[in-house]
Amino acid sequence: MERYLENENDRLSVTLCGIRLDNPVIAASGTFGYGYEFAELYDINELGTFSFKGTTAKPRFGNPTPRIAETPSGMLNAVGLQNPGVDRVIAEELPRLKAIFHKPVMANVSGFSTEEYAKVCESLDKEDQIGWFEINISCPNVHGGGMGFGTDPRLAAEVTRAVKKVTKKPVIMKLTPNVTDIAEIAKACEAEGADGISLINTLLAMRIDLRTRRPLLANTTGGMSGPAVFPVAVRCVYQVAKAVKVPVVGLGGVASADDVIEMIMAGATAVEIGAMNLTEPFICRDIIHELPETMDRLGIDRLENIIGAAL
Amino acid sequence: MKQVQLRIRSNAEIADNVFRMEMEGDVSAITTPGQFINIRVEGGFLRRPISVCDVDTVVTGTKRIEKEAAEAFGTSLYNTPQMWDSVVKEKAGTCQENVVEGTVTILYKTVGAGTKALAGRGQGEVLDVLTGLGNGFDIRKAGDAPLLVGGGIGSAPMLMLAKQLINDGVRPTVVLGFRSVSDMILQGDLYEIGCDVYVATEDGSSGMKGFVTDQIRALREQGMEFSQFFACGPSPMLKAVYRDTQGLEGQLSFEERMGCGFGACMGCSMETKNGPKRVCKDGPVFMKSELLWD
Ligand SMILES: Cc1cc2nc3c(=O)[nH]c(=O)nc-3n(C[C@H](O)[C@H](O)[C@H](O)COP(=O)(O)OP(=O)(O)OC[C@H]3O[C@@H](n4cnc5c(N)ncnc54)[C@H](O)[C@@H]3O)c2cc1C
Ligand SMILES: Cc1cc2nc3c(=O)[nH]c(=O)nc-3n(C[C@H](O)[C@H](O)[C@H](O)COP(=O)(O)O)c2cc1C
Ligand code: FES
Repeated sequence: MERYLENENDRLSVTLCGIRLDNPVIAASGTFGYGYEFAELYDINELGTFSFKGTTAKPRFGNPTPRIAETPSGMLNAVGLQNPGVDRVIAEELPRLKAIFHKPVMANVSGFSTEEYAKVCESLDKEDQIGWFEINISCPNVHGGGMGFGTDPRLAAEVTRAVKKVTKKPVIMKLTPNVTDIAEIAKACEAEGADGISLINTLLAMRIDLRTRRPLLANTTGGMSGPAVFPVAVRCVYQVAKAVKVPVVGLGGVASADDVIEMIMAGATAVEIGAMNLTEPFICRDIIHELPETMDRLGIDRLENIIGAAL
Repeated sequence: MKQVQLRIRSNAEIADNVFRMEMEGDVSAITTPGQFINIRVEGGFLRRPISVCDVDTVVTGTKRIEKEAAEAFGTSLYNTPQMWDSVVKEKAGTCQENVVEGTVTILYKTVGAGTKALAGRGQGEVLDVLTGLGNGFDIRKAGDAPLLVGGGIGSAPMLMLAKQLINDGVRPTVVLGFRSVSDMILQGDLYEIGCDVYVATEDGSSGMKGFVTDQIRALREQGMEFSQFFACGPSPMLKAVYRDTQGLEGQLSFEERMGCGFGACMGCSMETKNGPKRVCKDGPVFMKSELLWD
């Protein structure tokens, strides 16, 4: 029995930038808070890990509301990086997190200048619980930052370089799909020493209220995510995995164990789940539990054996 | 919070485009009036947040025997734990495990695809629901003369609130506002349980012609004094109640577009005197003194 369980665990585990994950399932930034809400529902230590809410140097309220809208099989958000700022994340959120989560966590970092990205990472670098940095150069909901860095290969390279200088922890650059050639951006990050690439962030989108004839979101535009974007995400992961040697984290619309496997076949080493956490709060745990059976059905022995199988 | 499957017991139109739905199942996570539930609807990606209008809890197993014994004899009769234990255990003999089952009632207005889909669901069908969301009203602050204010479909949470107040021996005054008599809800239920109910309609088809604030002003002019108000309704109504209740503390229930409904996405934030708050988790009820409306 003991050995059987060990094998079961081995089947799911993957190595992401030198750190072993019990399974490839990572809850995505902005959809999992700092974990507490979900810890009320299940043991979040079952996750591979999670990426906490995008952190900036200063506290941010974010955009005015309404900042959520529904779309067919998905949603728009224009939260705009609401977070308490790096100092309070270190002073309040991380100590609380330590009590409920005992694995390395992924720190999602955002900024409005190269210096801000570097400064936030430098502050967070001292925190033992942080396993990886996920550098969000892809948020479509802030002005004068965020996605601006992820749509220009030179700026993406500049942020990567600046962050790599201040930390020895693995740096994963999170890319936006709102570009002509996503592989080019990925390569620019890799050339500056990025340890991994995660993608996709949300797709720039909007909806209009037919009654008021005005945009539904106060911010006019928002980022689209959820099952509707899955095929776009698979395509992006595939293109990037073909272009770079560093590990790729695949996300965008993942909603089932089958989707996780499809992402891995497209070239992902690990898989994040975002919007689905909001409507099915047990989704990450359920997918982890379903993976072994799904693998049996598909004749997959270990997930590590099928990374990039479709490339 | 809990994710539960609730079985529809009844679902019927009770006013123009307003439906009353009773569901049964595990309602144990619903503890406070003013909380809401988040319902998966056919064809929708996001769940639909709807206030709890009323809850009726049925307890089974030893818990039920305990409750019944306490009701029948008072807990003092069994003044030694051993005695209490033996009585309950004996009676519980064949009982199953403790389950808190019950019914939850919601009132909803059909405004779009999701609520229309809900209206089409019938008795016996099962809904996937997140229950026990939000903070709810702080009933300890009610004092001896609470004023309950409901606007339109926002009147829904007032029934459970009024029932709890009456249970605590306090008789609330309720002011309800509607566009017209055809929109009127809950006035009969609230009257039946012993509330003083006043209605205002914009077209004067029932009660006083005007808004809830006109009705509240009239009551105060007649010399009525209140200890605390509890308000739920559209935001222009909340603002008017806020403005017209100088010298009176109160609690207001807010609405916002929600991604999750349980505090994870920051979709529903609101600025308050105590910093940004999530309407779904830190609210939907906020103290008048926290608001930035001055
Ligand atoms: C805490 C809370 C309690 C509520 N209680 C009740 C209640 O007891 N009875 C009732 O009839 N309604 C209530 N509402 C409003 C109700 O959630 C909306 O009317 C409903 O979601 C509309 O869904 P729809 O698909 O019919 O409309 P659509 O307009 O098609 O919905 C599209 C999207 O917008 C959202 N949305 C639309 N209107 C609102 C709104 N007013 N507030 C929040 N989200 C909205 C929907 O949830 C959905 O995601 C409450 C809202 C909140 C936030
Ligand atoms: C409400 C919300 C907030 C988000 N906040 C962040 C954020 O702070 N940082 C970030 O890198 N991505 C953020 N994202 C993007 C997600 O992490 C993810 O990249 C995207 O939603 C696609 O995955 P999904 O389709 O599984 O949601 C957010 C997404 C949502 C829905
Ligand atoms: S709706 Fe997600 S935090 Fe309130």
